[in-house]
Amino acid sequence: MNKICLVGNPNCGKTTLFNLLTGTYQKVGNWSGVTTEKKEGVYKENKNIKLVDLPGIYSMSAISKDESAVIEFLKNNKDVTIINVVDGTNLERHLFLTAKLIQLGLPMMIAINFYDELKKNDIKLNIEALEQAFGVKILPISAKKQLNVDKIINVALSAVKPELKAYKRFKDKNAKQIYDYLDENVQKFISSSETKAQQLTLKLDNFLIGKYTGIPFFVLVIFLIYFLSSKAGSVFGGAISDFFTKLSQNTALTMSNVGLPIWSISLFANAVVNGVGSVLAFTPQILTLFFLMSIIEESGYASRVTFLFDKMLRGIGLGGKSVIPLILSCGCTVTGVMATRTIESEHEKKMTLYLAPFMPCGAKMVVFAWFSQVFFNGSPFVSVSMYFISILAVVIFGLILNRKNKRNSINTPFVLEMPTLRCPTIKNIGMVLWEKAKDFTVKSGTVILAVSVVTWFLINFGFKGFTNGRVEQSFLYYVGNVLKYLFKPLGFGTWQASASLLSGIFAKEAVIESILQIERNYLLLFEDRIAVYSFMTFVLLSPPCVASISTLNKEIKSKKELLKVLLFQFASAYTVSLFINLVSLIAKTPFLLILSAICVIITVLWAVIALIKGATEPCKAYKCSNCGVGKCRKNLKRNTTI
Amino acid sequence: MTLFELPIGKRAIIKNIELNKKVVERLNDLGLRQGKYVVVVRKALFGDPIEIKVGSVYLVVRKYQAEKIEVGL
Repeated sequence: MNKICLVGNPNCGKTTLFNLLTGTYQKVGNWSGVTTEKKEGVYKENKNIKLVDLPGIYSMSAISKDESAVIEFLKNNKDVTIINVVDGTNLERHLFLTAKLIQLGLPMMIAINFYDELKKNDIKLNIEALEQAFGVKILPISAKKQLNVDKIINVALSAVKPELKAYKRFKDKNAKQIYDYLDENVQKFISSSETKAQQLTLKLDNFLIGKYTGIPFFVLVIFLIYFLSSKAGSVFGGAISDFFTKLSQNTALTMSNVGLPIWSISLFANAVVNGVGSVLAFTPQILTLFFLMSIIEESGYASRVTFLFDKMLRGIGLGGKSVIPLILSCGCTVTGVMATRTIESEHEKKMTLYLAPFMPCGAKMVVFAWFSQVFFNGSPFVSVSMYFISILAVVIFGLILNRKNKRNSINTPFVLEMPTLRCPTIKNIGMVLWEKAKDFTVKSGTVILAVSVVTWFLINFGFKGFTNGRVEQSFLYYVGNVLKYLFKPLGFGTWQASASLLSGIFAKEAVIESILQIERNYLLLFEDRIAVYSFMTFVLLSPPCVASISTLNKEIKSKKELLKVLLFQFASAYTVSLFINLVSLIAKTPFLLILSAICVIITVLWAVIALIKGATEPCKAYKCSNCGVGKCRKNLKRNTTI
Repeated sequence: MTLFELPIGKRAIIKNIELNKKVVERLNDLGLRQGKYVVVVRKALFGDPIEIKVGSVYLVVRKYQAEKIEVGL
C-alpha cells in the first residue's frame, strides 16, 4: 500500500479530516473536468504516507463527473487503502456508499465522523454490529474536536480487505437490494434520533430562508462582505501600495545615484517594483473575500443562498449556485470565477463564467469614483447606476446567450442537500486561505508582472528607442492611433482614451493612471459627458483584467471557448457603449427617442417575464427532466423506480 | 397526489418517481426513493424550489421534479 484515500459523501467532514492529517503538507490541483479540487498530501507525522482527498460522491454510478473521477482514480491506483468517512448523524444515507465501496473489495476502514455530536445527543452507536455487517474496522472520530484523529492512520495502515462474509453479503447486490438491507438493519447500528444541531438548523432556516426574511438577510450579508473586503483593501492594500510607491522612488533614487541608464531605472522602479506592488496590494482584499466565502461554504449557508435564488436565476440559464460567484465578482472577478468550481452543471457554470465579469469589481469602482469626481461633480448616482447597468447586462445578455445555448445544455440532475448548519473551524479555513493566497500571488502575479513590463515597454519605447517622457513617440501612441477609429462611434475616439483602455487589460485601475500619464489635460479627451459615461460603461462590461483572464483560463478548459467569452464581452461592451453614446443623438430627434424608449420598455418587460417563467423549463414531454431540446423525447426510457 | 401538491408538514410515502433514469438514480442515492417517508419542510418564494425531509436528510427539489414524484398518504 502506498496511498491512503479519503472517500465519502459531500459534507461528511472529509476535508476537515484531510487538513488535520496533512497539516500544511498538501497540494491542491485539478482533476480533469471535475468540480472539486484534487488534494494530495502526506501525513504530517510520517511523510512517507501519501494521502489523497477524493471528491465527495453519493454513489459509484458515474452519473456525475466527480464520481467518474473517483472510479477512474480507484481503477488506476489498485493498491490504495480507503478511509470511508461517514457522517454519524446521517448514517443510513451515508452507508449506501459504504456498501458500494465494500463491493470493490479493497483494503478499507470506516471513520464515523461527528461522534462528538452523537455523544452530546445520547445517540448510541453499535460498532460491533457495524463491523460485523461490513467486515472492516470502524473508528468513531470527530474531526472538529480532533477525537481519535491521531489513531486513524494506524488503523488505516493495518486495514485489510473486507471479511469474506461481509463481502459476499454486498457483492452482487444492486442498489435497491442495498437500500432494503440498510432499511432493515439500520436500527441495529444506531439508535436514531435527531441531533440538537439538526433541530437548531431547522429553526435557523426559518429565518435564513424564510419567505420574507431570507433575501433581506442575504442583502445584509452581501453588504457585510463588500464592506469588510473593501475596508481590507483600502487599509491594508493601501498601506502595501504606499510602501511600494516609496520603494519605487527609493529604487529610482539609488539607481540614478549609482549612475545606471534612465531606461533601466524606469524599467525597474516603475514596471517591476510597481507591478509587483500592485499585485500584493490586491491580496488583502482577495484574502478577505476568500475568507468570507469559506465561512459561507463551510457553515452550510451557501446551500441556503442557492435555495433562495435558484428559481430566479434559472431564467437566464444560471442556477442558485451561480449567485455566490456573481456576488464575489463584485469584489474581485478572480474570486468570483474561482467560486464557479462548485457549480456541477456544465451549462450553468459556463453561463456564469460568461456573465460574472460584467459585475463591477473593486478596481472598476475606483475608475468610476475618479470619473464621477472629475466629470460629474462627484455625484454618487453615477457609480450606483453602474451597478444597475451590470445587473441589466447580466440578465439581458444572459437571456440572449441562453436562447442560443439551450441546445447545448447538458442535463445534470439538480442535486442539493441542505447540510446541518455548522460553525466553521477557523484552522481549516486558515489552511485553505494560505493555499489560495499562494496560488493567486504566484500565478497571477507572474502574469501581471509580465503585462506590466510589456505595457511599460509600449509606453517608453518607440521606433526611435527610449522615449524618455515623449509619449507621442511611443509604440502606445501608434497603437492608440489605430484603435481610436474603433472607438470613434463610442464617443472617445482619441488615441489617449484608446491607449488607456489598453492598459486596462493589465488592471482596470491602470486606466486612470494611464490617462494621467498620457494627457494632463484629460478633460479634452472626451467629446461630452455622454462620451464619458459611454467610456465608463465600456470599462464596466469589457473583458476583465489579466488576473481574471488567467483564472478564467483555468476554469474554461478550452482556449477556443475562452476566446469566445472575451469576444462576447467585448461585443456586449461595444453595443451598450454605442447605444449610450447615441442617446444624445437620439434625444435630439423625438422620433428616435420614442422608438428607443419603446425598445427599452419591451426589452425590460421581456426580461422580467422570461425570468419569472424560467426560460429553462423543461419540454413538457412525459418524464422529461430538463435536457432542454427535442432530442430528449427520443432518448427517454421508462424510468426505473427503485 | 404529487410531491408538489403535498401540504407543508404532512408526511407521505413516495410511490413513484416519473423522471429520467439518471435523475431517479441520483435522487435515490440521496435518499429519495420509493417506499420512503417524505415531509415537505418549506417552499421558496415562488413555490420553487421546495425543501423536503427524507429520513434524516434535508433535500431541495425543483418544482418540475416535485411534480413528477407521486406520493400517497
